[in-house]
Amino acid sequence: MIPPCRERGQELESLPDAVPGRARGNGRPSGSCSSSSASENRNSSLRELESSRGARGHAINSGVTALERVRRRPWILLELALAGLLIAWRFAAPTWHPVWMDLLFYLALYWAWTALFPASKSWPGVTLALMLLAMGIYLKHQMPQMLLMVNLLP
Amino acid sequence: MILGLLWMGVANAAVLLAARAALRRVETGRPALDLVLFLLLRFSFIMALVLAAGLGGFLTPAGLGLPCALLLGLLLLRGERFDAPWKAEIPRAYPRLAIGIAAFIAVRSLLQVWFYVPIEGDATCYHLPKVADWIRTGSFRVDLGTDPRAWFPAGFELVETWWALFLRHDALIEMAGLEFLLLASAAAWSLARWLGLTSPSALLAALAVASTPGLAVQSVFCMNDGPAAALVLAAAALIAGRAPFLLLVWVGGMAAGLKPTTAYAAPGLLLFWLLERKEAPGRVSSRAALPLLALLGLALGAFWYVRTWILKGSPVYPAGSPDLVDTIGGFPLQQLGPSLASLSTNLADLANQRIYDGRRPYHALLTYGAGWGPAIVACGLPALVAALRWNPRLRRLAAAFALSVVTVLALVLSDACSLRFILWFPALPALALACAVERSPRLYPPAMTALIVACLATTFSENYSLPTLIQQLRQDFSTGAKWTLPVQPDPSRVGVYGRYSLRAYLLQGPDFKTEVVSLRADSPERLTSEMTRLKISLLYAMGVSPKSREGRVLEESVRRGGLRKLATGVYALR
Repeated sequence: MIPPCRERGQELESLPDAVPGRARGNGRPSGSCSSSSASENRNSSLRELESSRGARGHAINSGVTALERVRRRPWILLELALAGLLIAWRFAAPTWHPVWMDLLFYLALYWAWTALFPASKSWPGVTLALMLLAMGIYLKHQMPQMLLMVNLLP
Repeated sequence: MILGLLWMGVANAAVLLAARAALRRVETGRPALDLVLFLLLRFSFIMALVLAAGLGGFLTPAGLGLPCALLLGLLLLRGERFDAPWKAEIPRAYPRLAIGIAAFIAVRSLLQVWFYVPIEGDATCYHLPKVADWIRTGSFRVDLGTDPRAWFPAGFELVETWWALFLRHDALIEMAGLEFLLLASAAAWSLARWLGLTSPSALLAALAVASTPGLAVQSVFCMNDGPAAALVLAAAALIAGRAPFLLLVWVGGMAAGLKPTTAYAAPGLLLFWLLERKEAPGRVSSRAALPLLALLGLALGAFWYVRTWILKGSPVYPAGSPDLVDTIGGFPLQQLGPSLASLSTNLADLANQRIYDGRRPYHALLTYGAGWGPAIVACGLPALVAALRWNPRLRRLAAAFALSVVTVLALVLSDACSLRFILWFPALPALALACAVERSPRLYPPAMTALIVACLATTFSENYSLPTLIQQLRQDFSTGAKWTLPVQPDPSRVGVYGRYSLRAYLLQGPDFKTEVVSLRADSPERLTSEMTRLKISLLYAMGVSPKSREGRVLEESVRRGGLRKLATGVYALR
């Protein structure tokens, strides 16, 4: 069951650039179907979120290449460097599991991907895949302990 | 028992109504933040009442019930009324599955409160023995025993006393932790609304916090790390709502009186406050009550430090004291001051091992685990990486939490249980998960699956595995956790000997009738003569190492014939 007021098919930072000041996706302010009391003071938050999107909206669109994106937003290099350091640390750190079973390694890769392709329309799919992978890794580690507690393991 | 139930009902009604009346004076007009304020008001009134009754020597069901009955009458005469929460309509926008999970958590937690007995190590060693002594004697004038950790502030124990005093039984003592879990969830809800999320998404964030294994397990095992985390989250929610500074002083005082390590998270909260200063200040209905609340919070916190300063010479005793050292190795059991080595080891342990909770089952002390659970680790962390990119408010909160993680992990000793001090951190990925799910419905199924797994996984823990629970269910209601002892204690008075891990609470029994006397003799002769003088026939020295001073005294007493060893750690006077 999906909450009815969810916005669909949105990208990380891709905005309907021609419509500044509106939440992306279906064009209505996010949360407009909130069922809670109207006294919840959310106008300022919406303004802030929308302005942050609007400010960057023209600079980012899904048509530019990764290289062009780096040229326009050089701090991506810093993000990539940090993600790279994280990956290097995961190879160097004395973990008790191989790196391909390491959540932080995948999170660093995902970070680098979101930095390079912030406007990718496939972000929900990639995030979903990462969540499933992370769930598998977590359960692989934790499940034996869980089963032990209900006496299903010797 | 019937009279106790009556007093408990009256006292709780009075405190609820008083909290409602006080909320009218400080409410912000934002339902989510007002719920946080309401719960905080209730806790501070309970703490103040129990503290006053304990100091005044009238900590009895009638001693606390009568003033509460008077207060209730006055409030009713003034026309105060309480809106029954069960009459509130559940909005249709809430997904049924999320409501089902919320109901499951509520029912499961209440069943755990009823069927579980306190058996966790730290709680039975130095948290709950105080509660049992306070209730048995009706005052705070009790011997705190030989475990120096009993001198730490005991704000949470005041709330536990509230739930055990009226029935003179610990059947409901875990309700204290459960109330704080509710506070943590309410704070997450409030923060989610501040982030601009819809109510259904805020519910998802609250559920993700409530099903975090570390918080869920702690809430039903009488541990104070979960409640401390709830107060940190409540402070963050108040800062996000731009609540008046005096309200932050109030919460800060309560938090310091509940667990000193909450102060370690203060730098991050201060940064959050600085980052949020540019926002329009929040409104409260009246500012007149704010100084009073700030004073109340400061009093609730300062009491413990002033007491310890007067009686032990240091406000933070036993932190940094030679008394808090390992009895064999002599190394300190806690750290005072920051350490880069602790920070790096704690972070490495978290990233390399503990985040997976794979070395031990979920445990109230989070031994070798982080206790974040599948929803936070598998769904929340990826969502955090994504959501930080589009939500500037989440970025500010993340910066504050990151600073707090660094300060806390630098200030706590790197041991097997060190990650219980950052139990407030999972709220951040929980909020990010709600952001991501609101943005893309495709992420809803894995989020809900992870929540369900987390809820099922926290039904049992290492403290209470299924076989342990079955064994507990076979016991008589009046037995409590006594069945876990190798020898059943004398019903009137027993002695304990040693420094740590004495688990005195197990001896006191669920009805707090058995008096537990701490013995401090330093020689075999003095030990046996003290036992004879105090008419103690059974001596418990559970957890005492044979290599420690106490272990050697016991061994010598047995060799000389003064004591007879009945089982490991249990001795009888010959």
